[in-house]
This record gives sequence, structure tokens and C-alpha cells, in this order.
Amino acid sequence: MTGFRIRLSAALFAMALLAACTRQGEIPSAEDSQKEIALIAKSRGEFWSTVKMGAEAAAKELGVKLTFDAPEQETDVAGQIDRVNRYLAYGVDGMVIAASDYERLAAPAESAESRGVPVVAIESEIDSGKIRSFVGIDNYEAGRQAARKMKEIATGQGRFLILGYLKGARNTEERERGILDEWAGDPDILAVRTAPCSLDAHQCADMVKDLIAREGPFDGILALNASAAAGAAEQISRMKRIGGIKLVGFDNSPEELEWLQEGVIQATVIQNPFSIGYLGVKTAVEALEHKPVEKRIDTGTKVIDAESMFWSDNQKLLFPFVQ
Amino acid sequence: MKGLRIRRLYSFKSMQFLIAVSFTAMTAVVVFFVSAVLYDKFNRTAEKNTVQSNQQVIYQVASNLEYYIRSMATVFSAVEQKVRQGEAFPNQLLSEQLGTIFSTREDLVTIALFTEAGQRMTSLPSQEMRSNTHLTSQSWFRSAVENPNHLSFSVPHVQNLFKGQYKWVVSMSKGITLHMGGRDLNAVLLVDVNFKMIDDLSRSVKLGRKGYAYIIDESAGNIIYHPQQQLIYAGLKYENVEQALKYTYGSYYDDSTGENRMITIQTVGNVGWKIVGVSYMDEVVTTRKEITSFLVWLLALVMGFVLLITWYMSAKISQPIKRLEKSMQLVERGNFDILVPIRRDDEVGRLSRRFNLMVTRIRELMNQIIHEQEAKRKTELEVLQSQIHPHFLYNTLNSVVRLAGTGKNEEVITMITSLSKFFRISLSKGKTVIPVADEMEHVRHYLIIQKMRYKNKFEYAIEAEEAALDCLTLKLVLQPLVENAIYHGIEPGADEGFIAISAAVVEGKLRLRVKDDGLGMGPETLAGLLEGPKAGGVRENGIGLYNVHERIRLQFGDEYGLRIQSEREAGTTVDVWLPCLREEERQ
Repeated sequence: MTGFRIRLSAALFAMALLAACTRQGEIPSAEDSQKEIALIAKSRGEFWSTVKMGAEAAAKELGVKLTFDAPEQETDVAGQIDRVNRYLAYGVDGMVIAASDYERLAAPAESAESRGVPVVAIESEIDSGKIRSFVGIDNYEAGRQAARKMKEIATGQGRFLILGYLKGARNTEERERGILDEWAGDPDILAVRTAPCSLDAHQCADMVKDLIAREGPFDGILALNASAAAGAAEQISRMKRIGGIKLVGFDNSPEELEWLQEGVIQATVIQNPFSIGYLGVKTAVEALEHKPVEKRIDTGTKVIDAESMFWSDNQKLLFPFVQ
Repeated sequence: MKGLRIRRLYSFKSMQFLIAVSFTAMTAVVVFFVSAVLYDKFNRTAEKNTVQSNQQVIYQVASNLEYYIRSMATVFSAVEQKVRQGEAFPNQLLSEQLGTIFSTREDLVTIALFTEAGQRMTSLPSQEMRSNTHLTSQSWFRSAVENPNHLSFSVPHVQNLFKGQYKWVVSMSKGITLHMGGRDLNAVLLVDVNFKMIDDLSRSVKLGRKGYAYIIDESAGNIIYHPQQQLIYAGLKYENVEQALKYTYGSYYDDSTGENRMITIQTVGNVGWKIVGVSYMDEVVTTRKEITSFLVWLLALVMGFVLLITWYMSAKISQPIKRLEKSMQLVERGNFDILVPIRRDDEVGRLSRRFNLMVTRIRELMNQIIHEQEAKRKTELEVLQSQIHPHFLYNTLNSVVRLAGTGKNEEVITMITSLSKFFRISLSKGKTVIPVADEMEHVRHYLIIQKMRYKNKFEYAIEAEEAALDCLTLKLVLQPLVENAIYHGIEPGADEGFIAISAAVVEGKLRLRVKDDGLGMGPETLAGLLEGPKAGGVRENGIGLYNVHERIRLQFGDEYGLRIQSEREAGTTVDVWLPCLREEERQ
């Protein structure tokens, strides 16, 4: 009887040991409750694919699921609002929005925040105090930088065209304001003409052509966005006024970089789309985890000209690394 | 009652508790020690394994990379060979040959030949060149010009020579001298390679879940390739390259990025690159945590098991002892009719058997004592009864009547006084032990009465040592002896007898002696005198000598009692041996 009891307990003990051993054999699986972050960009252009690369790098590093979406056209504000609302209804955990419109995106962003979905604005600000953070550059300061560079290139004087102003697009508004403020009260800056053009390069090129035909040549053009810069460069090249009409642009689209190397664009003020995407997602995840986040994260700008574009450090900023 | 038992069960002083606790504590110490040793061993092994496997992996990657670079060098020399064979540029045949090489490898981006002045001689792709390439100031071009006939590898850079996409490449370049039309021409041969193969190689590296490998340039510490190259370029990620540069190969720990990481270095021959493997220690720590939790579980399990076993075993050991204790308590309370059941023939079993034997013996002794006490009471009662023997009283009273009838008042008074004193000492307020003096007095009154009755048929003498008088004796010891002497020694004889009674202390014992010079008796009679009453009835002489003998022995033990010497026609001497106790000693 006693022997049996001891043997029974020994068997039980061995079984328990075995159970303890097999427990170790389990493969630790990934977290089931993987958080999902939606990144709503302005469009699917080059700039945004680099933003997406940065966002994907952050998502991979932080172990979250990233969904990228954007309307076809940067001007399609309604399409963007629709997407924000759709992803909100779908039930994402956090949102990263590059707002096409400073004011109209405020309501959907706020409704997301009120549902406990943190919103981080990237590249373009949103007119709301409720969103967690803004990741991007100081566009006003970028405008001043561009203006300074243009003045330097144009030896301090001339007639200038500001191209690419877009009503409601906060970035271009800010850039324009920066440029005008930089030049305000400068007697050598003779005339500044501001011309709106939408986000189509050819349209911008035509506008430059018309304006030059009507108002005579400009000494320089400040293109407030990549399409405007590419359009202006195209027109200048076509008119064989390379170097005659100075061109300072924003951003670093492949076309702009080619024009920059060709010498049509003298300089461009770049931001770092990869960093914007990366930090946007990272900040959203931090907000999601209730960590304190900075209200404003400045990713910085840099003025690049044809000479400096192939400097080792600048190469890294200008050209996305694709295998 | 139940609460009491439970309290006793868990009593801290119980043997069961002691055994259980000490066994458990001992096991705990041993298991804990073993666990600690195992844990330490596991840890070291895990760490060593990580270091070893990382080194193996990195070594593997390094040799693969070396192989890849060698193959690229081979491609380069093949290209170089074709170029040297080319007589003139551009050359249709050469372009076709280079095109074949170019198309077979998807990692080739550019094959180009430039003059030392930067003039293109031939190229693949053959697209238009961009302006503002700053060709001659690019690092690969310069190093080719500066070190002719030496194949150099550039750091990653953007190839900006040809129209089309800007691509990140590593440039292989070499300054060569061509013999064209009898004169020497210095040229620079360029082969650009993209990161496809390097990326594939790097992706094959598995260093835990988060680990990765990157490649640095030995001379300047530039990062050639990193799986998160864009993060590095954007300044969002930082690698502690300075420290990696100090090592040619081996492993070290690094926490400069805030996380504890193990860095494994391996240098790739002939290009001056280093592969840096990074693995995260928290993954090793995860293994460690698993081991820890396993060991904690094991410890808890073993402890639980041991606790059960020891509790069971200690109960097994201590319970028979407890049963024995309970039996002893019963014995303590006076119950001798118990028998401890013997379950096993172990120590406790043997102890139980001894205990049983002991209890049995005690029971026997108790019974014996009871028996003896009963016998004592009985003999005493018999003595008492004999004192009021009606015959004696009747005879005495008869004598008194006769004396009164003859007017011998003096004698009547003497007789009645003696009778009265005789009876008073007989009773002695119920005491069984009286001083020798009283006993002598008692026997004197008896002799006075008997002498009157037997009309001076005998004379007597009573003498006692002073020391003996204080001693104590059982009462009514001498009277039966004197009675015997009179009835059996003196009365049947024709002559006047003499009875001498004495008390003395001999060798520390008290000796009372009754000596007569009567008939005496033969040895056969003598031998039977001190034996108990035979079955079949009380002897004629009543209680007699045996009674006295037995009473003394019951009271004081077998070494005391009567010693009788007798000889026919010479008389009988009866010695009563008693311990010489005095009043104060008795108390």
C-alpha cells in the first residue's frame, strides 16, 4: 500500500516535470493584438513614397501594422477627409495625417481624437489644438531660407515670381509668407509677383510661359513645391534661359534633382521625407502607449545647390536608398 | 478535543514537525544550490553559445561576402581583359562582349572606361551623360588615378553619370594603361555594383529576432551597407562605429545605443571591409528568464513533493511513537491491561515489545503486591482473632472465678490487670508496629496470666538490652511463640519449665529470643514448622509460628523472620530477626 502510494506520487511528479519541460518548447508567437496605424498622405508621389519608407521602417521597428493610403491628387481634400473617416470607422489605433487642407482636415482629426485615436500631423499642419503632435519642418523659416538663397544667387536684386501658391495648402502659404517677410523692405527687390498654380507641372510650365510673355522675363522664380519647380524648370529649359532665370525650389523630387544637376534649378530647400514618415509613426505609437510626446517635432531643412548635391552627407538626404 | 489534537499535530516541538522541516530545509538548500549552479551553467552556456553562433554566422557571411567580392573582382578583370584587347574606342565588338557580361549579372549598374581627363571612351549603359557630374573629382576616379593598377572599392554613393535613375552603388575602379596605336594611354575603368547581392547576404543573417549585420569601411568607418541604411542616413539611427573599428575580429558588449547588444566583428579580406553583427542581449535574457521560470517551477514542484513525502514519512516514523506515548499515558493513569500492537519489527516495534513486557511485569508485580497486602491483612486479622480466642478468655476468666472463689483477691486483681493490659497492647490503637518495650510488656502480662493458670508450672525471665528497647517490632510477635513454648514445650513435660525471653541488637539487627527448656522436637517436625498451611485445613496449633514468620517477611523482606533451633529433651530456641528500626527512622 505504502509502496504503491510512493510510486504513484513519483509518477505524478515525473509527469509534472515533463509538463514543465514541454512548456519550454513553445515558440513565443508575435503579439496577437498588433496595433494598427493608418498613414493618410496627400498623394502617391515620390515624396510620399519616401515618407512611406520611413513610416514602414518605424512600423517594423516598433512592431505595429502600417496601412498607407492617399488620394490620387494632392488637391483632393474631400477624398482625404473621406479616407480619414473610413479608417476611423474601420477601427485603427492611431493615425498619421499629412493634411491637404489646413482647416478642412481639422474636424475629422478631432473626431478621431475624441474617439481616443491619437492623431499626428506630418509635413502639413492641421488647424486643431487637439492633435497630439506635428512632425515636419517650419515652412515659414524654409520660405525665408529660400528667399535668402535666391537673393544670394540673384546678386541681391531683380524681379521675382513666386510660383505654386495654393489656397488652403498651409505649407505654401507659410513659405510664401516667409519669402515675403524676408524680402519686405528690401529696396533692391523690385517686384514680386505671386502666381497660383495647381499641382500639375505642365500647367505650371504654361503659366510661367504666359506670365513671361505678358509681363516680361523675371530674374528669378521661387517655386513653392516640387511640381511648380519641375514645371518652371521645364519652361526655362525650353526657353533656353538656363541660368538667366534663376530658379529656387522646394523638396527633392527626382525631376528636381535632375534639373538641379543640369543647372536649371540653382538651389532647392529640402526637408527629409524619410524622417518625417519615421518620426510620424513613432510619435503616433508613443502617443498610443500614453507616453508624453512633443507637440512639435522639427525635422529640419537644408538648402542644397548643384555644387553641394553630391556631397556625401547630402547624397544621403537627397537620394532615397533603394536596393 | 479535536482542536487539541490538531494543535498537537502541528506542534512545533513535535518530532514529525522537526523531521519534516529539517528534511524540507535540507532539500530546499540542496535544490536551491543545484538550481543556482544549473542556472549559472545555463547562463554561461547560453552566452557562450550566442557568442559562438554569432561568430560562426558572421564568419560565414564574411566568407560569402569575400567570395562575392572575389567574383566581382573576377568580373572586373574579365572586363579589364576585354578592354585591353580593344584596339580602338568606340568598338563594336568590345561593346558586344561587355554587353554579354553586363546582361548576365543583375548586380552590375555601370561598366565604363574614361580617359584620365574624364572623357568617356565606352560605357554601358550607353545613355547620354549628365552634365555637372564632377567626374574627375569623384572619389573612385581619384583613387584610380592616384593608385594605378590597383583595384579600389568606393564607399556607397549615388551614381550621377548617366541620365535615368539615380542609383546607389559601390564603385570598383582601376587606373589602367592602354596601348593604342603605339602610344600609352592612361584610362580609368569603372564597374558599379548595386547592393542587391550584399543586401541578400545581409538578409540571410539571423542573429536572434532583432539582430542584424552591417558592413563598415575599415579605413574611415563609413557604413557601406546597413539593413536600415536610410535610418542611418537620415540620422535616426546610430551605430557605434568607432568602437567596431578597433577590432579586427571577435565580440564585445556595447550599450552605447541604450540597449545592451553583443557586437561581433569579422574583417573581410582584400577590400578592407568589416562585417559587424549585432545581437540583442535581451533575447539572451529572454532565454535566461525562461530558464529562471523553469527552475522556479522545478524548485516549487520539488519542494511541494518533498514536503509531502517528508510529512508522510515523518508521520510514519512519529506516529508509532505517539501511539506508544498514549499507551504510556494510560499506564500512568493506572491502566495496566493494555497491549501495544506491534505493526512492524523495527526499532519502534521492538520498543513496543519491551514496553509490553515491562507493563506485563509491572502488572504481575502489582498483582503480587496486592496479594501480599491481602495476606498481610489476613494474618494480622488472624492474630487479632487469636487474641480474643474464646478459649483463652474462657480459661482465664475461669481461673479468675476460681481465684475469686478461694478469696485470693490479690491474685484476682493481678490477673484482671494483666488481662486488661494484655488486651490494650494487643489493640495498640490499631498500630501494627510498636516499640520492643511494649511488646515485652505485652508478653510479660501474658506470662503472668499463664503462670497463674498453670500454677507455677514454669518460671520465666525477661531481659532486654537498652538499645533493643527503642527498636520497633511488629506487634504480637512474641506471644504466639511463648504460647507454643508453653503448650508444646512445657505443658506436656513433667518438670517445671523455664522460659527465657530476651531482646538484643546483634550485628545491627534486632533479635528477639524465646527459649524454653521443654521437650523440644525432632528435625522432621522442625522442618515443617515454617511452611505455610497445607492444603486441607488449618493446623491445630492455629496461627502459630508460620503466621509470625510470614508477617515478618511480608513486612520486612525475606532476610528477616524466624530461626528455630530445637533438640529433643533439650528445649527449643526461637529467634525472631527484625530490622532495628526506631521510631524516628520509621518516619
